Amino acid sequence: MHRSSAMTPNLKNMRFIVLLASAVLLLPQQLLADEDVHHMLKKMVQAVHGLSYEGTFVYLHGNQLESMWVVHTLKEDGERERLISLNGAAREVVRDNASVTCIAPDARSVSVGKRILGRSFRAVFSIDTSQLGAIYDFKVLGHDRVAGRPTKVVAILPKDQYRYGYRIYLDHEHSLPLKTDMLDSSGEAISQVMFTHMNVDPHIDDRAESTLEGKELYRWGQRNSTQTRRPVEKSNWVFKNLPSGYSLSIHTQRPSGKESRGVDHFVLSDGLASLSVYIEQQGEQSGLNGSSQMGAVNAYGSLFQGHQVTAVGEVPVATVKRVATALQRSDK
Amino acid sequence: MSDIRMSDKQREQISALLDDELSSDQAAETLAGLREDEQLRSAWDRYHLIGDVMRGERVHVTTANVADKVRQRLESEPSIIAVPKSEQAAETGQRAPVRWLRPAAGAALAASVAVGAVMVSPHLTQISPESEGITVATAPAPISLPQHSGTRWKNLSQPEVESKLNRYLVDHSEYASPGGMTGVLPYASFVSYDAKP
Repeated sequence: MHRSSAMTPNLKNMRFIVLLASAVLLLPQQLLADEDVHHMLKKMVQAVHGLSYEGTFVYLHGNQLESMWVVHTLKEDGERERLISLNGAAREVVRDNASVTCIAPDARSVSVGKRILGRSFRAVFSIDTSQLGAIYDFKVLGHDRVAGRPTKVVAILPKDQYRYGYRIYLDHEHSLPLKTDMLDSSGEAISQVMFTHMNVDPHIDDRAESTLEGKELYRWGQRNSTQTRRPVEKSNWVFKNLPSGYSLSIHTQRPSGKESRGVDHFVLSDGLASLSVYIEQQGEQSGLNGSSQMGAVNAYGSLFQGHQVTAVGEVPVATVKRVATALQRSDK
Repeated sequence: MSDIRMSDKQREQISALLDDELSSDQAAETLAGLREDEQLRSAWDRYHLIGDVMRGERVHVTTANVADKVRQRLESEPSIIAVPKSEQAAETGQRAPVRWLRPAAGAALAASVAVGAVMVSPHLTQISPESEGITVATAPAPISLPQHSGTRWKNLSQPEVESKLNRYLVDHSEYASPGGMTGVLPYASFVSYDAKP
């Protein structure tokens, strides 16, 4: 009895000290954690492009559920990625440093597009999320388990209605995003990608031929839209009053040919979200008038001074609309 | 048993129809046969319900039997897919419930006809997200196999506008991969959706 009563003040002291210490430690740790998000996201980007892996994921958008298989390899000759639909028609996209091949067995078409030469899109969009504090909040949400693996959960939350946010479940070991929820400005999930299986292995081989039956029946096409692309220095068009954070990333032009009309292609980005605006002369073929939507992708089209203007991207409808209507003729 | 009597020729025709190897006249003839002949129809059903139903979905004619079997299957394998809340709100909100499904189905039909496929489906049944419990089993109207080809751009009924949007989207995807933030998703849109050149 005597002993225990003598211990009590000590214990109380201890508790107080522990409490105080944790209170003091908590604040900077929280700040540190949020600072860490940028580092974690950077590691994620490196992992997505720098590791060899294959995995199966489900993709839920709206009430549409898809299942896909992805194989990503990094070899001496660069990155290569195959994405194959596991439901319905076995559509497939293969992309490497030189080309993008889209295989659609249901349409019996294979189209091959060249990658934009000399202009790595990754350079354009190499994200430094720490620069985006004015338009997004970055948070560490905690831990969870996805595909049987422990993950750290981080959030990127938009500060206005012109962009979507993300909740990303990053694999502890490899930093790959095992689950990615795209969120609207109220925090509701618009689409979700979740791996159910992920295998990281430097020896993965994806060189096996695509499983095309009756290849000769397919129409092989070259997508000429990317054939003669070139960046444009001077533009007849200018965007006024863009949503905050958005700016022009790249402007390319496809000159008009015998069969096709010239198209101006503008890519705009806030550093994370991006959309494209296409401008072509109004033709007999009608274009999009008003807004349309597919999954998390929104599109908005209108006629402007004899030109069809179409904005499309994985951004809210408010953004495609505002960007499309922000277009003006430049004075020069 | 019933198809013992079914002639090889008929079977071949059905198979060819499934593979989209018939001329439009032959296809029409076979389809007419299907409509009239119960045996043929059940063979057709079975061909459809064998695992590779979905793979060869160039031709996709649905009879009531298929719808019945799909319903039976759904009854035996109840599955509820979570619908994100925003979508529910959209469906119960100012937009009529699954209103977009119908015009989209019409567009898909038009688009499919354009590439030479035949698609006849019963009306898509709304599986109401706010209904209680496992409603799939008790839905009174036929449930169709969801269509996999054709696009699902909302508010659109012009195939040429859709395919233009698809082209734009695939093109945009080339630029829109912010270092893996959405990772494989830009191309996922192509893989999961129509992308006729």
